[in-house]
Amino acid sequence: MMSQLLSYLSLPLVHLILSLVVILAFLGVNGIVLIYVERKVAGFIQRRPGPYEVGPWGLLQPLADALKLLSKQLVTPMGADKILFWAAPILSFAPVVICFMPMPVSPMFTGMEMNLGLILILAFTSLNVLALCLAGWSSNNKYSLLGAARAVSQSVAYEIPLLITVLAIAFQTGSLNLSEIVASQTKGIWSWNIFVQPIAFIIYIIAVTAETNRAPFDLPEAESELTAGFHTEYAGMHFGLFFLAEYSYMIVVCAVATVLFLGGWHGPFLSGPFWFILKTYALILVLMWFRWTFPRVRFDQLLNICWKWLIPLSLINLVLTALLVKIVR
Amino acid sequence: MSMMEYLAYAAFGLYLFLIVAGGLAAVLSKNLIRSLVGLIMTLFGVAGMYFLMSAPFIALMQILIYVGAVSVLIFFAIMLTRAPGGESGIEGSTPKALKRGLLALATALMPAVILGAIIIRKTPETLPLKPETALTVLGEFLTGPFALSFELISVVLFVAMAGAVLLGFERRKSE
Amino acid sequence: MIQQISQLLPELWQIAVVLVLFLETIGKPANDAAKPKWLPLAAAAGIFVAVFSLKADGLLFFKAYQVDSLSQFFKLAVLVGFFIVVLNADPLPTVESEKRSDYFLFLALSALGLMFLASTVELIAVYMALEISSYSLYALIPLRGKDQRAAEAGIKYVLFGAAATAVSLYGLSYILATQHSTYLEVLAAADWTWTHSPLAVIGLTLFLAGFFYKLALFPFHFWCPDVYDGTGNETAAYVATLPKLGAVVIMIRLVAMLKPENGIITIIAVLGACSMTFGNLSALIQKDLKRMLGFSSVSHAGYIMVGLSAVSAKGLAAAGYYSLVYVLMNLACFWVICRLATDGRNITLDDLNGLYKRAPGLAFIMAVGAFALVGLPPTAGFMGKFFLLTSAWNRGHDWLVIIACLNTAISIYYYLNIVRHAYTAEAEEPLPAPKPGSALWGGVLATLLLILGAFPGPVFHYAEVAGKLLIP
Repeated sequence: MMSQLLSYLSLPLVHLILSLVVILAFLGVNGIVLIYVERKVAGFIQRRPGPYEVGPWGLLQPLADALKLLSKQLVTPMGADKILFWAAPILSFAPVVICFMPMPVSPMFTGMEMNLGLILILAFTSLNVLALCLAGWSSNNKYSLLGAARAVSQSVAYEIPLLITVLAIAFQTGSLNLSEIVASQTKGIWSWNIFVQPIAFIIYIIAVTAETNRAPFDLPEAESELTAGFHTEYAGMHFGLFFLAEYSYMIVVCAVATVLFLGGWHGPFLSGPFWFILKTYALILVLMWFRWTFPRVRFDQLLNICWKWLIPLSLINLVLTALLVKIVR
Repeated sequence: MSMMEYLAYAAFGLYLFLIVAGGLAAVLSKNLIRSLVGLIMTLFGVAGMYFLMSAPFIALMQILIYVGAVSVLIFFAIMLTRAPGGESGIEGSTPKALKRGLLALATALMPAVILGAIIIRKTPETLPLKPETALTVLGEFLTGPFALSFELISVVLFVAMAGAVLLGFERRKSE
Repeated sequence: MIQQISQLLPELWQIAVVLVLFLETIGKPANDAAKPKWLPLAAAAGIFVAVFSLKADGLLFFKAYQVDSLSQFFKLAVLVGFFIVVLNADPLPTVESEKRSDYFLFLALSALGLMFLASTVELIAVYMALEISSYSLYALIPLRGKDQRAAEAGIKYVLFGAAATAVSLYGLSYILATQHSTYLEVLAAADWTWTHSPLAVIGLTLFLAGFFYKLALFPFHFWCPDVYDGTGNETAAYVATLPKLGAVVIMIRLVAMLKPENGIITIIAVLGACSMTFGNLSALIQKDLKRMLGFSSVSHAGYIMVGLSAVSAKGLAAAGYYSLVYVLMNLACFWVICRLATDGRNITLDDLNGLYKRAPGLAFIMAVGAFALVGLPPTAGFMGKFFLLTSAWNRGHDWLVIIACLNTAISIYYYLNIVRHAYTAEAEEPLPAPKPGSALWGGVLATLLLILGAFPGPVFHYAEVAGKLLIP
């Protein structure tokens, strides 16, 4: 009986479904944890307690929030494009699940070993902006539309330095397989790419902050200018899905950063998955720290940073990497 | 047939549906954004077909470039050029439109039927290929036998970009 | 390495011209109206470079780039055409002054694409070279001040071009699927019969569609009169002439792979016949000179098919020779049009009235151009048609030759109508006379047409040598 079950487990399809279930569960828990952490961090930085009423230290607050969102009515505004309005939140969340498939949490614990894992993640994270566009357009609201327009020009611009820096890492490793990239960083902490490719790391972090629409680059949903940007008209679980997607994208980009720059599962004493999750959440804390310390940039500044600084820098970095790789080999 | 083969057929059917339904949505919808969504569906279907033909790199590039970048740019262009939500009032289902639809259907089906019949009658030989072509092999092809095309593409892109700038760019008038 | 460079001299020269033009477009101040004065000189030097490398021979870039007599012949033709087009676009009245050097940049790029096209022998590279020349034209055609017609022409050209390209690439996929190669070297040895590889035959026919479009052959000709009509006169002079050279050279290379009894040859012959007849009949009723020349180029595409359908060295040489002559005679006609339209308007037949009094030189050039387009001796048009028809006779498509003769008879009417307006009709109101000396380069063109008509031997012989390389 047991052995039969195990043999089923080794079937690719069963493996696939199982990892999908695990990922979905993880994303749900992650959302709840991050809401709590974000509010506590915000409170800490702004010298206020944050949530503390519900449960000990306010621990049950995110659960209460989730219940509230779930029980709210789903409103579709007048004149909205109904199908697209409903499809947008789902389209925003669904691709994230796939992004976790090739993530090498540890040598044993990888959803799907893929030679093109890095490209897969980049391809599916780029779909988020499409969902934002559809959400903004189908809401039939000018703030939503403005938010969508901003989202497009922002993400199209920042995708370029992101891809180029990631390409530099791929050049250096000679592989797009995430496990191999991790395996190339085994020789102690100095072999981590954050020390080998510091410029790439900085560009990556800036670019992903913009790609995930986090402050200081949260112009698509800038509340003081656009009410709530592309999700102005969304309520209840529709909004919840966007929210969940945003946190899930955060964890995707931080996990990728862990793989690319922080040596993935490597670390002393603890076993692989612990290190992986530790590093990922540490990066997320950094992103939260950004959010509550930097003021929002103006839109022209946002584009100038990208086109005039990040793209040329990342290109220089790419060319230098290619040269060095050619010399070393 | 094994389980995997059934799955492959099911996937083929799904992708085919995505391509055809997306194409029809793109053509028939009166709303530009919905057409665009149809186009995106088709692009996804095509990406799936590439996966099925074990060309995962091409499939992912299809998603990354066409879905993630090109359609988004089209979306942007639509938003910039027309009023949001504006329905263009063109002809409804008059008899003329019906006739036109039938003609379009015939035109679309004719090549499909002819080519399909020929393919079924005389299936071209297939080359034995590895299940997955390594990226390095692709790269060597691009810098080897197809190096000239590879270089010419960059000229084409240059021309396209410079042409777009020439047509779209208004020089600031210097006083 | 040195040898390779010497084989690529004409291309390298053109690339240098493009680079300098590019630097000029990004470097110049915003309101600098100056047109590049050095460009005609550089283009003339390009002709010398091409003549110098006429004997070059070699196979480069992993066998994807063939430098042989055929390619050098067409590169020379492209460079000659480019030189004349540059001279012709001298006042350029309809293009804003700050866009003029961009205009020449794209002209040069398009010519560069055509030169690549003359040499590529690998289908994907062929497609890329074709796109270089097309994309440049997509940008050039709408450039006519704020003219609505030009925007319409630009959109038509882009849309038709995109559709033709799609068909072409679809065909390429079938060729690749059945013959497993895109190299002409391999494809020439492959089986192209309908019974053995029907898909390959369909694929090749569809692939040719992209070139039918460039050539404005019958089912792909819709854009032609509208685009000539809508775009500026100087741009029309380019669009009407040089791109056809690129299309012809590729068709020569592709047709040379086939046997004369192949179905594709029959398709080409039928399309040629339709094209001539349709083009000529439509041209009969045109009043606008550029529209008339547009339909005339549709019918001339048909004539060129006569030579291709012969599938012999002589036939291919005749097609090459005729396309060269076609470029020269059209440029002669457009030279006159551009000189007459000092403000860049479209010229109608009535604008030609009394031309022989106002500008006898231009009237003479127009007459030579029109006679050549009909195919009357002693112009080169006559010799070109003569070669075409004799090469195709007894090669299995005699009916096509007869149709071509009948069409020539029809076309006499409207071509001579041009001459009649220029010489016998009187202008109702006196029109301003063009600048003196404007007939100079047009006169050179007319002289060339007469010389090629009187002594076609050397050029045709060279073309025949090139053809013999493809079909021994």
